[in-house]
Amino acid sequence: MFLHRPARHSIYRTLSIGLALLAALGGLSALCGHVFGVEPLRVVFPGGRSSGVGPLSALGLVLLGVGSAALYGESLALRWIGRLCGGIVASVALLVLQAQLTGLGDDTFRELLPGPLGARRTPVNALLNFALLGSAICLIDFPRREIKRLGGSAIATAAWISLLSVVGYMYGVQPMVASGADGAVMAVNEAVLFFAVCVSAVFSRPERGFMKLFTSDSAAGLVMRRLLPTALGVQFLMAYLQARGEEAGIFGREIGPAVLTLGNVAALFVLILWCAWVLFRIEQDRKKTESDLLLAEQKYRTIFDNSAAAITVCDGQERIISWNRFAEDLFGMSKEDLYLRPVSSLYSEEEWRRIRSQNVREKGMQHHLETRIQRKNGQALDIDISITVLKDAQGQITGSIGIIRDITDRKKVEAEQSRLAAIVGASHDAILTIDLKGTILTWNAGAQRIYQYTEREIAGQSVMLLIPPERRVELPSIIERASAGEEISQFETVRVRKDGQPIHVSLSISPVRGIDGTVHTIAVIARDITDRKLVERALMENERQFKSLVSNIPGVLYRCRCDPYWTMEYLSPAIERLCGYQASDFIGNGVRAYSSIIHPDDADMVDGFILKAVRTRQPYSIEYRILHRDGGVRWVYEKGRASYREDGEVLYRDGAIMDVSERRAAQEALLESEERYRSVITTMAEGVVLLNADGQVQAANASAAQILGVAIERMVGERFPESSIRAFEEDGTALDWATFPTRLTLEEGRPVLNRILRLAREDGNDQWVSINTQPIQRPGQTQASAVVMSLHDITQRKLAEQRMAEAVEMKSEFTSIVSHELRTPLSVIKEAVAIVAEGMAGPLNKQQSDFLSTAKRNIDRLARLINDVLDFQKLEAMKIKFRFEKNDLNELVREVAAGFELTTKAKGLTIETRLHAGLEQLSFDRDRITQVLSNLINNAVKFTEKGRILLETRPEGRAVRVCVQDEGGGIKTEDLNKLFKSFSQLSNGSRKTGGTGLGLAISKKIVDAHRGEIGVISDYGRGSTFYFTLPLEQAVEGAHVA
Amino acid sequence: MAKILMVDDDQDLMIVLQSRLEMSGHEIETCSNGGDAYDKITDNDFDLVIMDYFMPSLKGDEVCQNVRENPKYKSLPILIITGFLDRDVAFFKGKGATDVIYKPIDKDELIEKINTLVGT
Repeated sequence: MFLHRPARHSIYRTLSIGLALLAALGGLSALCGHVFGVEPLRVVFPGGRSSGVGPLSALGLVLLGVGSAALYGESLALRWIGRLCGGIVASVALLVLQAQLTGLGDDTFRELLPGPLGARRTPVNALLNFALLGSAICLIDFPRREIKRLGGSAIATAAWISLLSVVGYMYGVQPMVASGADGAVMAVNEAVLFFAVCVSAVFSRPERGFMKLFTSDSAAGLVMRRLLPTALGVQFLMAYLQARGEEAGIFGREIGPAVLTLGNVAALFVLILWCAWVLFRIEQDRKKTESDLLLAEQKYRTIFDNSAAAITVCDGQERIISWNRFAEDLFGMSKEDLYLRPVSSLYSEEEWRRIRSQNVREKGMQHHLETRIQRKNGQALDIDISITVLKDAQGQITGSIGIIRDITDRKKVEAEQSRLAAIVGASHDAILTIDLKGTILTWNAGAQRIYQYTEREIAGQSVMLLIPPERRVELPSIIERASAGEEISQFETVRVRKDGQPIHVSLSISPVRGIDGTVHTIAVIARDITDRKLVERALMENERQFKSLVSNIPGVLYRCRCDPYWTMEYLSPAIERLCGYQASDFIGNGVRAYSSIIHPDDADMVDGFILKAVRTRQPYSIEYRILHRDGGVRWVYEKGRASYREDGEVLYRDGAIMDVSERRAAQEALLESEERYRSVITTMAEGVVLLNADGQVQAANASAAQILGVAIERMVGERFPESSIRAFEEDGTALDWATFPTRLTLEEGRPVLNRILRLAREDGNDQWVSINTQPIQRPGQTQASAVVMSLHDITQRKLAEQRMAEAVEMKSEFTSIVSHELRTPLSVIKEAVAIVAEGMAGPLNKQQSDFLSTAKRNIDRLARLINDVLDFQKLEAMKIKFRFEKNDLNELVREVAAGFELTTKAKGLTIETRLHAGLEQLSFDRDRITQVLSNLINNAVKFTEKGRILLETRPEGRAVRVCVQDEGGGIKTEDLNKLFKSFSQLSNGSRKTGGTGLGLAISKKIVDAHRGEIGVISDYGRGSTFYFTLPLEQAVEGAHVA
Repeated sequence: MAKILMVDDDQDLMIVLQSRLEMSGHEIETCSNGGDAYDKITDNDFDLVIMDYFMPSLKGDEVCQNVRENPKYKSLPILIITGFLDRDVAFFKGKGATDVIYKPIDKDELIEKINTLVGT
């Protein structure tokens, strides 16, 4: 390990400063010895001829030591201190030396020195040493090499002088110690200290000059460090031992050198052996290192050469010194081109400036940049370069290594990608991608424009969102086809926007393959072709019309001269179909002139019209008649224009003639039909008004104007008819115009029938109308495009109805008042008769009494008659309120029957009931039904002389039947239908029984009000069964007017 | 027996009813029109007023209202006679009458109603 120990400069520096300080301390102690009179401090090594260090020398040593130590310092100030010390010492030494050598002023000079310093003479060799070392310290640090060498030589000389003194002392050679005539000698310690200063000065810069060799790591340094001190030391020691041994008489003069030589040989042998071994080891190490290096280099060389990246190595001047094959390919340069090529020449000036500005070399060791180089053929190359800067131990840049990758392709892809992205972004088409499940992955601005969804709204949603429900079956097959790798283009379909509007789109669908070659995404490009579709449709329609025109209307093309005969130069063969003559007939008027087949009534008009058009240079179109060969007449439509020469003369006329007979016929038929209907409508009594979709009157007939009281001219164009007419419902409330029939029909598209309204006309008359409306709808539309309203005048009917109602009312009122007025005298008569009959006005005989009771009976009958008339009248005028309540019918029958018990018993009749148990409760007016039943029983009692009266109840369907059966005389068949009429008189003269003739009529009215039936089954001579029914459910519970 | 005022424009009816009621022992005062009726009522102390409904000048219901406005006669029984069968009892009670009897008058019904009203 000691073999490889590196020379550590710090050790030499420490040695240097230590020796310098030792010299300074030695000088200082000697100075102290002088100042304080301490002998040992001056002398150090007693005995011999030395009298110790002189005071001046001591001071000089101190200064030299300090100076040498200061040299070691790195700061400029310290160095200047060192130089100053050296300078002072050298100048003083030279002054003293000069004074001593010349003998002039030596004493004077010493006396100049203060106190003890001047006490002794300084030996010449010491002065010389001071001068040499002082100037060496002063000079050794100068930058110039010559001066440095001068300093080095001075040190070597001083070292030699001091070593001379030491050797003189060691070997006791007086002349070597003494110097100068006065016998002043350099003290032994002084000599040692000088030597120390020398060594210190040498070691102060261990890396320079001679010391560089000494401290180097090489074998030379090793030998210097190990061999030199040892070899010199052995010599010194051996010689010293020989001298001392001879002096002491230990061995003789002959033996001494022999022993010495032997010792020398042995010591040197060991030394050389050791050195040789060390050198051998060093050599071995070096060889191993070299082979390792070679191996490593080979390894790296292989990597270097075979690297997929181009690698260049540059020297400190940025010239290419090494590269691999890839670099040659990359740069397109040969070895000759590359070797020592400045790196800058690879770049364009501009690019190089950009790289420079990034301070690649000054920044850290590694740098990475993307740039562009020029190949030898001028082609630009995008590269990615990683630069490693190489620096030596001192931080000097020694070169760089660049690893270069060609990124042209990547750049191209990047550029292409951004170009594609821009295209996708700016595209007017919707571009989206979906996965195989139909989920939307990407969405461009065009898609947003077309479908109205933003990307945020739609991303991750299913593409189904865009497809109208009836088209959703398309998607699976699209995905399937695209998954199989098929491209689908120009697939026209319908999609739906966010607002629900359908749009026509043309889809292009492409599968997108992943690295593994399978389809994982589908790209969809949708173009909005709604406008195109509309245009297409319009075009198709146009074309269709044109085609049908061309195919259906035979056109004839002609060119004729502009003369009265229409002399034809060309006439297409279709003319034959038009007029029955061949085209050739007309050419050059060969057989006939075209003018001859124009209908004579139209000829003048046609000629005049065309002449005028030709003169004014206008195209013309005209319809006229021609005569067909078959004797018929055809309508033709002709369109043409004249051509002119430059001088304005007419050359010929070109044009087309078409058969429009059918159209004319249709037009005429239409006109005729319209005329017919118009006349019908005009003359009909019903008012007819035609309104358009806005509710404005388009047309109206005279009846309508009459009914509404508004002139036709005023009506047409108006919104019917709110402006001039007020209308009322049947119950007298003002009409809500929103419910007017035409409005309803226009809004709902359905007809309105029989709406009855009263119109208050402007002339002040009331008009009752029944209105019907009928929508006119275009095929396929539900909205009415127009509405026809017919107005039926029902004023007369309404007035009659009103008069009728008034008459009924009057009759009722009349009856009511009459019956009331009758009652008062009736009351008087009744009461008066009663008073007389009771005998209060005097006694009566039997005959008087009988007459009075007849009067009384008839008074009661009259009262009943009045009541019945009033009752019937009220029922007829529907003024009676019925109270419908749930009642038990059987119970009612029982009660009424009980009420008749006395009467029947008195007449010798029996009354029986046969009531059906478990009858449902019925809803009826108890008082009124009691009246009906009483009436029937009363009749039965009246018309039955003997036997029984049977009352029966039984359910019958959804009703209950009540029967009153008697065993009386019965009723003749011809009388049955008169029974229930008022004041009916039967043929058997029932008036004698004292009835009013209204009982059954009233009963019928009451039963009718209950929605029941009343009737009779009779067997003349055997008896009758009167019955009535009551339904189980009444339509209305509670009171209602019947 | 009760002291009764009879009001009717029909003298004949009034005479026969007066005879009938006086025979039953009642004291009868007559008045031929509605206008005088109120004064008669306030001047005397009647147990009952029997009054025709439909009279010229002041009608029965108006007389009733006048009488009822006087607190003293709030509970004076008034029996209305009418030929209007289509107006029920409630109608006349609403006009201030205590009860009503319809024409043609049944004497037994009249006497029974009078007895009920005068509390004998």
